[in-house]
Amino acid sequence: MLQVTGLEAGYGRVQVLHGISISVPQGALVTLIGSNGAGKTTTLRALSGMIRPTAGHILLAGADITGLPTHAICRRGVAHSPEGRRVFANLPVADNLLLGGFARITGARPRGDVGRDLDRMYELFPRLAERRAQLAGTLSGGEQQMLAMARALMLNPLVLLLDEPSMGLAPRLVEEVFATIARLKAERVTMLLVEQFAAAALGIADFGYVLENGRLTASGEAAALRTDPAVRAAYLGAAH
Amino acid sequence: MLAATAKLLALAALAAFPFVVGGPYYLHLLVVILIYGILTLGLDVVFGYTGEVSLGHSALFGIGAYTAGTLALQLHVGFWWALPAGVIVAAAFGAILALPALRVTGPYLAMVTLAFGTIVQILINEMTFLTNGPLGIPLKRPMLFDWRPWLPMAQKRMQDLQFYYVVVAALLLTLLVVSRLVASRYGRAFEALRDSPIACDCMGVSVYKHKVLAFTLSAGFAGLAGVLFAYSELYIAPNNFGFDLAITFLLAVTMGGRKSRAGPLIGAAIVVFLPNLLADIALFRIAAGIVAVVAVVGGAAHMLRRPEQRVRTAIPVALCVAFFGFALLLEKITDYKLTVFGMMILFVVYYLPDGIFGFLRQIAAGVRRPAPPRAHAAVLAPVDDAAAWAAAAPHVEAGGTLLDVRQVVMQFGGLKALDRVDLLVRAGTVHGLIGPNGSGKSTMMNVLTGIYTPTGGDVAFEGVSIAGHTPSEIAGRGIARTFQNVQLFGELSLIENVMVGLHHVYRGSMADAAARSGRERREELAARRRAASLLRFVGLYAMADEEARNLPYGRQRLLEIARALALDPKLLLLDEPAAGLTAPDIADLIRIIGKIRDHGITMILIEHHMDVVMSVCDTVSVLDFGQKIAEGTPAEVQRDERVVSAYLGGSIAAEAA
Repeated sequence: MLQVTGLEAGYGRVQVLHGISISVPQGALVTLIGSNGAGKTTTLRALSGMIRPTAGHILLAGADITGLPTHAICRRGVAHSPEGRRVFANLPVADNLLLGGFARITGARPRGDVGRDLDRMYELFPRLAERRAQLAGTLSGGEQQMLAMARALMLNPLVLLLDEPSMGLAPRLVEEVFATIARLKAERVTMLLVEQFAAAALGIADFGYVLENGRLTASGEAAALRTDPAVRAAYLGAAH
Repeated sequence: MLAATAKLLALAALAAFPFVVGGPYYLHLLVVILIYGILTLGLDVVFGYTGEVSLGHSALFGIGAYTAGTLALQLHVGFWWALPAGVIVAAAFGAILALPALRVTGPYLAMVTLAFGTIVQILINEMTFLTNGPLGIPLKRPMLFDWRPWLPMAQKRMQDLQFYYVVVAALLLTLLVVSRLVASRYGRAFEALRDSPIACDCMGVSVYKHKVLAFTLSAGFAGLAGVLFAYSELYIAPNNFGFDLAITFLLAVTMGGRKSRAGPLIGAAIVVFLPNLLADIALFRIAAGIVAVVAVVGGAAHMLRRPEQRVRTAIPVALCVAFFGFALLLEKITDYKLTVFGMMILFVVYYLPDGIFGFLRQIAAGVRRPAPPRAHAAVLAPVDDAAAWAAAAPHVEAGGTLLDVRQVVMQFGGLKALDRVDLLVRAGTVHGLIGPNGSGKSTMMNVLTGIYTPTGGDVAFEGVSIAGHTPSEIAGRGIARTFQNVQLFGELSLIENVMVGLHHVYRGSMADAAARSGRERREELAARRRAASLLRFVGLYAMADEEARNLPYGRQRLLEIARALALDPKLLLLDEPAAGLTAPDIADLIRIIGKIRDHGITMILIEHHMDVVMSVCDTVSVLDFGQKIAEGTPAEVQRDERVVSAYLGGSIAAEAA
């Protein structure tokens, strides 16, 4: 579904990514792990066009989307649930979700049944249903995180990019987030996941890539990575 | 080296100018540019550094000029007395305007300053008994020093020359003072309050006080420029100081380039010189031709290097060439003067958002290698680890009560975010605060640091009530914090971020900073060393000169800890320091927290990562729906059934622990 080769990107004169090649097959859940500053968030930002890649190619369902602006990439079906949530604080929950499906409503993407998908989000995240008329800025951190995920899903995306969906959440909510991701995986949503809980991420993913200083240092089946002693020592913490 | 040479050349050019260009017309033009330069340099302190838009600087300029005018008219007092008087009167008006106006920011402040400008202009017009009203005030060119016995020169020429050099001296003084102040802790405070006012207050640097300071300073320079302007024009009238002039000043700073010394001067030269340039069609065509040639050459070079951006590069080049064509077609330029002016402004603002000087700097940076780390990296190579920890001995001995929160209520409308919460923190301990999202933990942090005033109850720190005190006062008493949603000063470097936290160690005055006295230099160097060792402590020293906004999220949290430690806190509040950190980084964080505790600093820790909470906390309090539902040792709390059902849950939390 998503095929990335030799991706390079950075901020200003600082190059962060030095040739990343990733493949996200249709219906698979792929996770990207690595220490802070390795370039995980930068990779997602480059994929959704928030920063312009300086080299490499990004193919979405076979079509080249390298260097397109963010809104165009979104219209082609890449949804991004960004680090730090970034919900529209002064709009109600329902409007946040509808904006996630904006490209469908305007006809840039196949429309489908927007109303039914909205209901599905409320079913997937019951807390959002309770608060559908509340301004997104007044939600607690955990609820905002759910909203960010739901908003991305409203695009009916070909690929969903999830950046730290569990950040700042209470342990119980972290579980809920992982349960939701597992459910989406069962529904064959194609996902690329960046997570601080690397062990848990590898636990539910199909494939994993290990990123260090902007380069890939290991990749493979998630289960294999999870038992790899080097990966365990470096990224999963001694406790595991 | 290059910069020093350029400065010397500019100085020599200024000194030689009156003897190279003989005519009084161009000398006068240069004087006006220099006067505008003094004002725009001062305006840049407010506009560039604190990020506030002032439309009142034309009025402050007018106040300076009219101080000179009325002194001459009513009291027959001359230039030398008018000079300090104009500065003081304008600065006083600036302070009076700033005190109430700076409670508001952004567009509201712009409106207030606009109103101020209008009122001042009308008052000058109407207070005929003082200002001679719409008739204006004529002034006499002073003979500052009578050197005619020694120098054979016409009286007028000598007066012009003397006045010119006085203006040059005033400009040099302005340059010196402004560049020293913005490089000192004041400049850092101005930028810090722009990037994150809340964090600035919580570092003990009062946002309000520093905004008023910046505005008053800026008004003083406007007053200085005003007095010089009055004696340069020799006639002032109320309509000299209208609203359009305020816009012109802002444009000069924007076009030239904010946050630089050269930028406002370039801008001043453009806004003064442009109307004259537009009056002469031949000169205008030559200038447009030069711009077009430069654009074509520069654009071609850029296209060769970055072929994928050819369309984006081609547009401004085409615009420049079209502009030259337009200049050739024009017969009578005076009809189109304002149109041309407007088009140029649009072009600069759209294509050169950092101004002309910012653009030139960018090109220079692209041609040259990346700048080497600034001097301090070398100066500071042997950093003492112990230097990071000043002797902030807590007043309360270990185990005593440091913080006592009693029955605190925080109500927002109908919602009680905190409902009669008690919290007792003993000195030398790490006190955990956990609970579901939205349970009131961050609200508690904001109450403790004075961002919110509690609706009920009391907060006692070292036995003294701090409820209702301002954040900067509370920070001064020794409570420092980090923020859940990171609040760094994005455009400052890492080391400068930490140095904002070190504001409290300076003893020198603003005069010390402006004069860069020995004391100021010693204090600045000591602060830099201390900041460097704090950065080393959190493992960020290698990136000391990076801008904070370029750091990855996890490291930004570490920088916040270093900045908070700079306050020499007795109590450190950490709001989710492990959010977004991976397992190895969390292990580092636990080590850092342990070391901070070893230095006798008490901590309150909000955290969702139970492994962190369990390994560092002595006591844990649990909040749910604004109420405390449990308290005890980590092990006790972890077993508490209510805590498990409300907060902990099952598998992944256990896995993380």
